[in-house]
Amino acid sequence: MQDLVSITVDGQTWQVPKGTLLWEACKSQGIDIPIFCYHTKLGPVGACRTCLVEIEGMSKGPTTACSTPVADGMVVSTRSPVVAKAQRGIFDFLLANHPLDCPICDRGGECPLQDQSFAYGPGTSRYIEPKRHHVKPIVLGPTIALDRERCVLCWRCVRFTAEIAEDKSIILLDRGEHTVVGTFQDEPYVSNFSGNVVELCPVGALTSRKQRFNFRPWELQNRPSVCPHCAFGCNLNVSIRKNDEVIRFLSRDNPEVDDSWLCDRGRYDYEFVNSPDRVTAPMLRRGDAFVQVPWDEAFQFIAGRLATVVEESGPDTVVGVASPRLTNEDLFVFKRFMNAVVGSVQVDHFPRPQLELAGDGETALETLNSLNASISSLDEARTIVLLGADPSLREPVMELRLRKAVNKHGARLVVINSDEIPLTGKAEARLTYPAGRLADMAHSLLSSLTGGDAPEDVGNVVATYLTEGPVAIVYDDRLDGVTDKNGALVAIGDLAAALGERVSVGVLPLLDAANSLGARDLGVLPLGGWGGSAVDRLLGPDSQVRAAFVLGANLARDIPAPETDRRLEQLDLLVVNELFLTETARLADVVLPAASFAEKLGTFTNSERRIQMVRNIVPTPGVARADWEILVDLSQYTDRPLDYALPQQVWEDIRRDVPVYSSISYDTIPPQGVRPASLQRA
Amino acid sequence: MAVLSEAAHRRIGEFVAKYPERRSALLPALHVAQNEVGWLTREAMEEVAVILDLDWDQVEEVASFYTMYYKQPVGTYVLEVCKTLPCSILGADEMIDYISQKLGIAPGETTADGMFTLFRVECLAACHRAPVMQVNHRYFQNLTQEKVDALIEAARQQQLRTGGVPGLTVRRSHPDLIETER
Repeated sequence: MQDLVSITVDGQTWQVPKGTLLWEACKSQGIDIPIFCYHTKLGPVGACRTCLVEIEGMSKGPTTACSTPVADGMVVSTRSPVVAKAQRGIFDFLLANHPLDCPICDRGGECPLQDQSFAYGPGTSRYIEPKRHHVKPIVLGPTIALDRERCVLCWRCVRFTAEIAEDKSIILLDRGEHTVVGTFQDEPYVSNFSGNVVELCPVGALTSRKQRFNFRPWELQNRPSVCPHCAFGCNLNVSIRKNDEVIRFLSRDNPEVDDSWLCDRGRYDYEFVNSPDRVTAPMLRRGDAFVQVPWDEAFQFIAGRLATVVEESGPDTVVGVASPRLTNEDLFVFKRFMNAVVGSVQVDHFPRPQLELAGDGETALETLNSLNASISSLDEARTIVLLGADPSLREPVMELRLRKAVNKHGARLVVINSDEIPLTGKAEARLTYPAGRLADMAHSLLSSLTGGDAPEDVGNVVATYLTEGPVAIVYDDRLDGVTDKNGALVAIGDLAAALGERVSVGVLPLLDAANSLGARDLGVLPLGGWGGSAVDRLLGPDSQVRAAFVLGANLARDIPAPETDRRLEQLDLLVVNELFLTETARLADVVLPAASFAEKLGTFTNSERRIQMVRNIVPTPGVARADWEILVDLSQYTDRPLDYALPQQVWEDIRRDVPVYSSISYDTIPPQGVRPASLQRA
Repeated sequence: MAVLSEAAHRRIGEFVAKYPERRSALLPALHVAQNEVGWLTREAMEEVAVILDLDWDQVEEVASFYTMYYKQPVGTYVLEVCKTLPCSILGADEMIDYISQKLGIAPGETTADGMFTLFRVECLAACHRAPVMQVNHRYFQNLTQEKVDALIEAARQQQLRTGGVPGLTVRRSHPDLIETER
């Protein structure tokens, strides 16, 4: 299928696809060639000259491996005396003005300049002249500090802002020896993706203002995990210190999802894990105050009250509300606890779209669900439609995927929104509608598509962009500010279905939280499905509810009304599993200390239905436990105990219960997650 | 809030028309802007960016790369004295010192009255008539202290005709009283 060519490097001969860059070919074969300016995700510029190799028959002398495509029969030396001499010279140049303040540099210990100078540099410098000095650090923006003395002018940060994030904020100023990294007229570098330039910087020139001087890299260990902040599911390396402190999030390249980038919202929100304000022990309300009690006492109290409520008023006066930030394992055990142990069908997750779906709405949701596209399919789309969706706000890294799809793969972006969004400037076509009137717009699109009446601009967009596939539709599942949520969802579903009869269609929803789709797949919904709402039942004016289990959902904050607090306070039993004493937890009778995403083994389902694993990489504070473990333990105090000891056992039951997950076995979930086999379309 | 005149816009438009891509006209457009405003102010760069459909950053990257664009205010007369080898051998350094002393400014500085700015510049490609100086795009060659005195005096009387890049300069020039040897 692909043309292969044969190359020989340092005596090894193998075959690589034609057009591969020589550096990439060598890397795949385990041959190390130093680089600074080249980056797999940014492409070559040939600015740093450290990747020099000797190619037989090339008369000009050493050439750059990063910018040379392989050719059949190419014979290359990466270690010849000529190459070694050239590399030593380049490193001598790179270090001519570098301050060598490694002992106090944030990068020291994980610095490509250190490592590569050690491996390929001359050992000592021939320079005796004083080094160039700059004012430092320069505050480049709210998140980034710049040390111009350390900079080796690799252009990575410049290319990232120009080509990937396209906020074109970081530039190179002046020329030659005077070249420095800066911003237009010294304006602050403000970006949703600024943290990536710190990670890209191959020296300690760009440092995080939040993390400067906070740690030495050699104290840290990096553990794989998944970002808990939105449903996009970017992969993380979590840096931990002394086995118990989460100190930093780094990207962990998953080409199918994040493509090695993180947004600042995800990257810099980790301090909650080690916060001194975490709930560390079970707490019982005594009057106006909480007292810490052993697990046993808390469980006895809960079981006692629960039994009384169920006996007096029936199990359906007990409701359970769980946050979609919990893992699938937590949510599944939660649902089983409510159904089997308590005997109540009133379970729900919150936040979620508050829909009152009749039959056609359920169908629409099923249609959209069945068309669930992969994130990487955006790269193959002919047209991408943002339908009332702003990925930059909800799932920021998707913005970078969309920019890539347009820039590298020629996708045509159509933005249909009531407001300007950051991606508007990238749109080839756009349609606007009055605020809230998404349903009308979706109807117009559908009408135009099926040959009915529609405004001319809508008709033009449909004719130009929706007649040729593949089409990817991104819609915002939360439907914030939309006046007719049900109507809008039904219309989007109908539109996708009608489109699907004509061209190949994929749908990506923007969801509330890291595991919203998991909560949905596991059916953490009350009797009556989407139409019902355990939260309404709990907080409604005629509420008969007497007891509630709330796992990580902050109702008192998210539904701000005096009535919310009053209702929660009135309950005979309010059990809250939480990391912190939230507004809701303060109203509880019992607060149980829960484990964060970094303290438990479990899975998240992201918005493309990729099952990814989070791990117990640091111990919980105090006696905190995973939500599912807490519920299993609590069930031992009832006459219907649950029998789970390991998250694997929970997953086995999930597989049995949820057909779409049946193909996925816990032990074989790869480091980069896996989508159910039934979804892996060509 | 335009800082460039209609004439400047027209001129830049003419350059744009010469190239397949708008951004190709960046260098001449910056010259037009500089000749009109005197130096590349933030507003001037922003306006050029808008005209050429570029980002401000891209304009500043280019503007900062070339020393011929002024990134700070300059005097009415910009004295650019060549410091490269042939001029240097024929006394350019002494000439720079002389002007420096006479005007009371170091190279790179502007006189308090805003009249003169002095720069040391790289080769002006007139080595056969070294030492050489460029004043507002016009060459003055085979410099002597007497010539410099006369030139500065003429400038003070507003009687120094200066040049301009053909087709680039929009600002009106002054009548010339100094004959230069060609």
